[in-house]
Formats: sequence, C-alpha cells, structure tokens
Amino acid sequence: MSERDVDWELVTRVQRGDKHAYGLLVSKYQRRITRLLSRIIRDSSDIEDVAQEAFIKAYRALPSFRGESAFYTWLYRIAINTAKNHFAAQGRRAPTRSTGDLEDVEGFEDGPGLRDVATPDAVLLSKQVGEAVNRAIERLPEDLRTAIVLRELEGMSYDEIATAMNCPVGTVRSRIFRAREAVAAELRPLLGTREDQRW
Amino acid sequence: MSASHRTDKPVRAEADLEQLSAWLDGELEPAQRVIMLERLKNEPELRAQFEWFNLAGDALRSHEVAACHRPALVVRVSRALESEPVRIGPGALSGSKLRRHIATGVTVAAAAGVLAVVALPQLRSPEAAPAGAASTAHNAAGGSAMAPAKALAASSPQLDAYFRAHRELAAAGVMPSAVAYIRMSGEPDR
Repeated sequence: MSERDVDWELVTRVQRGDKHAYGLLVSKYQRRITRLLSRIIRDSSDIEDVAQEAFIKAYRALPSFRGESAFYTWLYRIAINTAKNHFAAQGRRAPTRSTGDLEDVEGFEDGPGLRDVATPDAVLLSKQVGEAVNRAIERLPEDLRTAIVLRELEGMSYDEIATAMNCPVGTVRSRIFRAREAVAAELRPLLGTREDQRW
Repeated sequence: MSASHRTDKPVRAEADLEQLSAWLDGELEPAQRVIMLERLKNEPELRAQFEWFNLAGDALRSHEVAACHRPALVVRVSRALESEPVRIGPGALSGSKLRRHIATGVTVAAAAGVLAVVALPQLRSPEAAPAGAASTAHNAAGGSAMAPAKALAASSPQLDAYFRAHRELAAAGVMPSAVAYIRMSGEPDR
C-alpha cells in the first residue's frame, strides 16, 4: 500500500460521510497548499483565506473525485483555480508568466514555475527549519538516517528498504519511526503548536 | 519530577507511535488501519503526533514547505467544515446500502409488472379480464376508488359510449392507449 492508497482510504471515508477523515487530509497537505499559494499570492493575509476556501471547495467536490489522479494533484488544481478566482475577483492577474503555466507544472513548490514572493520572516523561518533538520539528521545513527532518507526522499516501501539495508521489515519500521521522532523533536521548539491551535 | 508527571495527558506508548508512523507510510494491515483511523478520530494527542510526523516528512523534503506550517489553518477549516453538509460519494453506495437500492428498484419494477398484468387488461376490456384479476385490482384499490367510476359509467349512457369508442381506437395502434389519448385530447373542443 502506497501513500496514495492511504490518501484514497481517507477520501473514501470522507465520501461515506466521515468529515474527520478530511481533517487529516487538510492537516497533511496544509503546508504544501500554503507554500503553493504563497508563491502566487503576495498578501500573506490572503494566503490563509484562499487556502481555506480551496480546502472547502475540495471538500464539496470530493464526492465526484474518483481517484484517477493522486489526491494532492487534484487538490493542487483546485487551489490553483481558487487563487485565479481570487485574482479575478480583485480584477488582477496572478503574478506569473501565464496562468497556463500554473496548470502545466505539478509538484513545483520548489521549482521555477512561479516567482517567490516570500516575506523576510518566511525566508528566516525556512532557514531555521533547514538548520534544525540538518542538525537532526547529523545526530541520527547512520542506520536511522539511511532508513528515513530512503523512505521520505526516495519513496521506497518498507520491503524495499529492508532489502536494501539487509534487515527485517520490523527493524525498518522501528528505524523510520525513531528518525521521524528525532526530526520532529528538533522542529517542535521552532514550529510548536499551541493548545488552542489544535483541532 | 519527570515529564510524565508535569502533564495530566497520558504519555503515548512508543508502540502506538510506531504504528502511527507505519500507518502514514501505508504499511499497516487493513484491520489495523481501521483501528488507527478510529483512534485518530478520538485521540487529539495522537492527531498532534500525526501532524508532527507529517511535518517531519515535509521538512526533510523541503524546508520552505515546512516553514509554511499553519496549524491555525487546520482549525479554521475544521470549524468551517462543521457548517458544511455531509458529502456522500458514490463509493458510499456499497455493500448493504447498494443491496437496499437494488431491492428498492426490484420492488418498483415488480409493482409496475403487477399493474401491467392486472390493470391494463381491465382498462382495455373489463369483460375480457379474468374475474380474479378484476377482483384483485378492486381489492388493491380498496374498492372505493373503482366503485364511483363504475357507477358513473353505468349511470351515463353517453360516457359508456365514449369509453367503448375509446377502447376500439385503443386496440388498433402500437401504443393503443397513448395514441387514442393523444388523438382525443388533441382534437379541438367542439
């Protein structure tokens, strides 16, 4: 079962009336959608509004989602269209080469498709996150580091990682969990969530 | 004082978190997946951990994406969702629900079939209709609906002649009843 299958399982639960499952999808993809929109919308106060609108639109359209594409690809297009509508409502055009580019390029959060409109605060935070992640990775024992890199960056399954690392699948599972915990522990002081910001 | 005593929240067992981590990667068995989803629904602490594990993955892939962490957005969307009606997709029409829909369709078709067998011959020729069928139709209608029509036809020779003409016309065409009806209703008032 792939990550896409996990998303599809959540989607089918939403389609059976489980709103809570949608909350998990929002939680999972809010950063990627916010990042995407932050590269299109200059005003940071508008980004969250447009992101919220995109997520609600996606929820309303979810009964018609058949899983032909990955959930994120589908959500991404809704976010792009919501951003376009946002500019249309303001009588402005999206600050890109052309709106067609938005639809043609996928998975380009860090690509050249859009110009970066990040604020100095966002740039600083991004730098701090990078430093925290590097710190966490450097401190990890090599077997944990290899396991998490193969999983998160290479997208390999536990079986494949077990074969590559010549160890049981249970060990892979444990290593990935401990590596995740270590990275999350470095990020907590930087991006900690207040109690009232929990859902 | 240890960390576990500083908070009244239960310290989550490592095994739970390891299972959550495996679930994120789609590496749990179907039965365990269902349990995990239910637990995520009911346990805010586990949900918070879900968020941290996802954040860790995002941070490993892109610092810029991780820096866009906006937990307040999830709260906002969740609140907005509360006022949204539940959206049911076609996937929901499976198993018992689908069977119920099919059963409803079969029931409607059966009712239409009974109507065609019992009521249509009677409309064409009440004399030719089997006595049992006529009585069934009569009973099905509760008797009361049929009785005034019969009484009216019997009491009006003009209406009786009209019905006879209508039946003769109806017997001629491919869609006899409909053609006769269209012909009759299409004629201008005299």
